[in-house]
Amino acid sequence: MRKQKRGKRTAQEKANARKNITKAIWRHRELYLFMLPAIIVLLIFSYGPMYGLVMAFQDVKIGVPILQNKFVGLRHFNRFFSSMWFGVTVRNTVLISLLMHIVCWPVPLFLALLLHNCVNTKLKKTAQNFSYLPHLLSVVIVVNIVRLLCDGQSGLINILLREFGKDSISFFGDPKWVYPMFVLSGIWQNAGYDAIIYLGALSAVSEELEDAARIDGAGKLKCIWHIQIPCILPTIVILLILNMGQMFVIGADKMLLLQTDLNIARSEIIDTYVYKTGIGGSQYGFASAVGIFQNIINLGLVVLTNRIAKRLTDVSLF
Amino acid sequence: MKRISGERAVNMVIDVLLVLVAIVSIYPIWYVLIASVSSPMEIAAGRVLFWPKGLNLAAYRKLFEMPQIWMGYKNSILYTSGAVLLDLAVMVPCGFAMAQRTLPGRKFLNTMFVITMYFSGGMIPKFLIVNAMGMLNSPLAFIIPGCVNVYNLILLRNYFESSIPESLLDAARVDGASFTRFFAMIALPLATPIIAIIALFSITTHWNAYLGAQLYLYDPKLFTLQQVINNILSRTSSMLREDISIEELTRITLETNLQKYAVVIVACIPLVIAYPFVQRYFVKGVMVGAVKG
Repeated sequence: MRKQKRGKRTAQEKANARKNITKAIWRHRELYLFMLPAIIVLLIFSYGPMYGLVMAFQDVKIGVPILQNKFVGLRHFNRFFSSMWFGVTVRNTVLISLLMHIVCWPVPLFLALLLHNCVNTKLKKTAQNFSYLPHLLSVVIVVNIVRLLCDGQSGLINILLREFGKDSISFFGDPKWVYPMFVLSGIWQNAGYDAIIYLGALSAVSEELEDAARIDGAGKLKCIWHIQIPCILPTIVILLILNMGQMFVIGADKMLLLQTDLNIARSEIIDTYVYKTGIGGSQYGFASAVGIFQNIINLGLVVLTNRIAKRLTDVSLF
Repeated sequence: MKRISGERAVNMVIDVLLVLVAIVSIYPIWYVLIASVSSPMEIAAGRVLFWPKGLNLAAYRKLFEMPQIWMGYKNSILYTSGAVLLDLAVMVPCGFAMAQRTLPGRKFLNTMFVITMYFSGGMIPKFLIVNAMGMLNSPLAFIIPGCVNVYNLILLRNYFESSIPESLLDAARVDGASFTRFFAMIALPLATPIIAIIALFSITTHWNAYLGAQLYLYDPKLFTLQQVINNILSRTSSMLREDISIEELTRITLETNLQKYAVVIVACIPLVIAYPFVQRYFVKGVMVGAVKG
C-alpha cells in the first residue's frame, strides 16, 4: 500500500512499517499455526521431490547423501533420447493425449445438451444418474471390466462375434486395440460426470430468450444452436483451456493395468516407462530424467495456454 | 402442423439417444453382475445377455473362503477413514486461514500452494523421500504424502471467503474472540456442506487409489482392496499343472472367469450401497468447483 512512497521514506517510517508488519503477523499467529501442517506436508512431499531436478544429472545410489552422488551431466537424457523407447513413449503419450482432449472433448457437451433438452423428466433423471455411476468406480475395476468384456476367448464381445460367425479378436494381444480401449473406457467412465458442469451452465441460460425465440418460430435445434451453445461458450472455452494445461498428464496407473507384453508397442507411455525403470529397475537417476523431461513439457504447455487464455478471454489460472 | 411434428421428431431422437446413454452406462456393470451368478456354460454359449441363466452362486461361495478379500476390505476401510480424518484435519483449518484477507503473506502462501498443482518433481524422488523417511511398506505412506489436495484446498478457501461475512469475524474479534474460537464456534458449523463434499472426494480418492498403494505397500497383509482384487483378477491359468486334460482345463478356466466376475461385483458393493446417498453431493461438488472457474 505504501510502496509508491518507498523512496522518500525516512528511517523512522521504515521502522514503524516493520513494526506494524511484525505486529500484524503476531496478531495472525493462530492462522499460521492453522496452515502449518499443510505447509510442512507440501514442503516435504511436493517441494522436497523437486530435488529430482538434481538427481536427473546424477548417478544416484541409495544411501548416499544427495549432493555426494557422482554428477554425470546429461548422460541420462542422452540415453533416453537415443533409446528406442524415446520414440515409442513420446508418440503414445502424445497420440493418446490428443485423442482424449481433442477428439473426445465434445462428448460430455453433447451429453449435457441431450439431457438439458430432454422433455421426459423421468428419462432425463435416470439417464443422468446412470451416466455418472461409472465415475465412482476405481481404475482397477474399470480396467478389469474391460479385461473381462474384451477377453480373447471368454469375453462377451468375442462370444457375440463367434455367435455371428466372425473371427474373435485378441484385444490384448494386438497393439492396435490399446488406444480405443483406453479412450473409450475413459469416455464411459467420465463423460457423465464431466457433463455436470455443462448442465450447470445450461441451467443458467435465460428462459425468456428461448421463449422469445420459440414465439418467433425457432425450433428446438435452432434454440440449441443459436441460444444454448453461444450462452455456454465461455464455460466451454474455460474448460478447454484448463484441459490444455493438463494435456500430457495421463497417469501411469490405468495404462499399467491395461498393458500386456504383447501390446507394449502402443501401451508404453512416459509415465509407465518412468515407473518401470525407476521403481521396477531402480535406475533412479535415469527415471527422474525421463520424468523431468515430461514435467518440463507440461509446465511449458500450462504457461503457454495461460498466456493465450489471458490474451483471448481475460480468464487465467494465475 | 408440420413444425410440431418436426419438434416431436427431435424429442424422439433425444429420448432414443438418452436411452442408449443409460444402457451403455449401466450395461457393462449389469453384465458382470448377471455373469457372476450364471452357469459358465450358458455364458460361453452367449445365452447370458440380459438376465442370469442357470443360477449359480458357486463363485461367491468360493470368494467367502478367500481371506485376502476380507483383509483387503479391512485395510481399505482403515486407511480410508484414517486418510479422510487427516485430510480434513489438515485442510479445513488451512483453508480457513487462507481465506482471511488480512493475513500478511497470504498471496505468497497461496502461490506456494498453487505451484505444486502444476509442477512436481515426479514419482521417483517422491518415492525416495518416502523411503528415506522409513514409511515404505507402512499405511502411513499411503495416507500422509497425499493429505493436501490443493484443488480441494482452494474449494475450501473459496467457500470460507464467500460464505462467511468479514463483518462476522470483525465483530467476534472486537468481542475478544480468538481466531481459533471463531473458527471452532462459527466458521466450522457454517462450513459443513463443503466439508461433506471434500470428505466425499477424499473417500472416493483413497478408496479407489491403486498406484499409491502399489508404490508403497509390499506386504500382502497390508494390501488395499484394489490391490487384492487386481491380483485375483490378473491371475491366469498359467500356474496350473501341465498334465491335466483339455476338459479339465476348460472347466477350470470357466470357473476362474466366473470368479473374476464375482470379484468385480464384491468390490463394487460398497459403492452401490453408497451411490444413492452420495450422488447428490457429487453434483454439488462439481458446482462448487465451477463457481470458482
